[in-house]
Amino acid sequence: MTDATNIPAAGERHGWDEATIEAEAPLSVAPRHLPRALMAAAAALILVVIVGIVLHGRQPTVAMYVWLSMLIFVVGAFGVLIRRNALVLFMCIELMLNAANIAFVAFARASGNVEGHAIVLFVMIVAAAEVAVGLAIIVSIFRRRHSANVDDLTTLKW
Amino acid sequence: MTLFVVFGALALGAAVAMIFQRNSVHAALLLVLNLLSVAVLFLSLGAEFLFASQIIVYAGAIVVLFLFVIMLLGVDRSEVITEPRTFQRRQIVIGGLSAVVLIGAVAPVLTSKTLSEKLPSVPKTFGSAETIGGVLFQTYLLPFELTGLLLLVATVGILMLAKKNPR
Repeated sequence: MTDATNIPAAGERHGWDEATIEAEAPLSVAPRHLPRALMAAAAALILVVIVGIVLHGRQPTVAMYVWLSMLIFVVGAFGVLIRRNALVLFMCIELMLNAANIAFVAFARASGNVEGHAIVLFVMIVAAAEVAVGLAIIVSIFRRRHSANVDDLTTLKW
Repeated sequence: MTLFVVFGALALGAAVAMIFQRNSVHAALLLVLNLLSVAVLFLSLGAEFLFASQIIVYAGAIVVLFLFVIMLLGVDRSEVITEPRTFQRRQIVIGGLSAVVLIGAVAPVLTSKTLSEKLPSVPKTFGSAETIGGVLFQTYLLPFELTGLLLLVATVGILMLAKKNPR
């Protein structure tokens, strides 16, 4: 797609140029319209009520917690696939690690064994180390390339 | 049950809102909401110690680190904060397909009978720091020491990465 001799500058490969960024930036940085936030809150409330009616009178089971954990994991994986900002990619990875933690704690509770909690602690420590190193790498990439967009980092592309 | 429904929906909603949020700072704040809801779910599963450490480590340390880096890269540079709308159809299709495959692979296991039983009652000290400390310092002593080494290596690595390259 791109020649090795012709490495495009940050932002050139997309269908947007500096002018549209400048024009769009104030709109996207400005706070969202209130009606949209209200609609989102109302949708969440309706969702909670519907799920509450469906599950009414039942005790939560391990399966429900693992379903929730799987859904959050899928959302995180989907985010990794569609987002381009390196910082948001890391946030999505955190989401996936955290979803796995829910399943660990649910299974620990079901089997009455505390070892699952110890594993969750290890996951948290590894996630902290991973985020710290990853963010340091992003900062050093940004110093050189002046971009946090993963699509611009094509130097190692075959 | 109420706890599970309310905070489960909150966690899932915050996660969905996070990945469709163009503003990085807002995405980080939605991540905090998600992590706090998950902390409450931990509490509802009897994991008091993990509830506290989730709030301290994730919401307190990791997200603050994210926000710190966003500010360090520059709030005045709009392309760091926001992202142009480049969601291509190909990415959405591939993402949706992998989501369906993952759910389809796990769903048969989750509908089995053994997982649908009521949660057994556990002793009061189930998720306390004392119990977890016992497991951590007896069964998992070596892995626990190794995580200390991991954190040391990470710290040294960050110092090396963050050092300015002399030209």
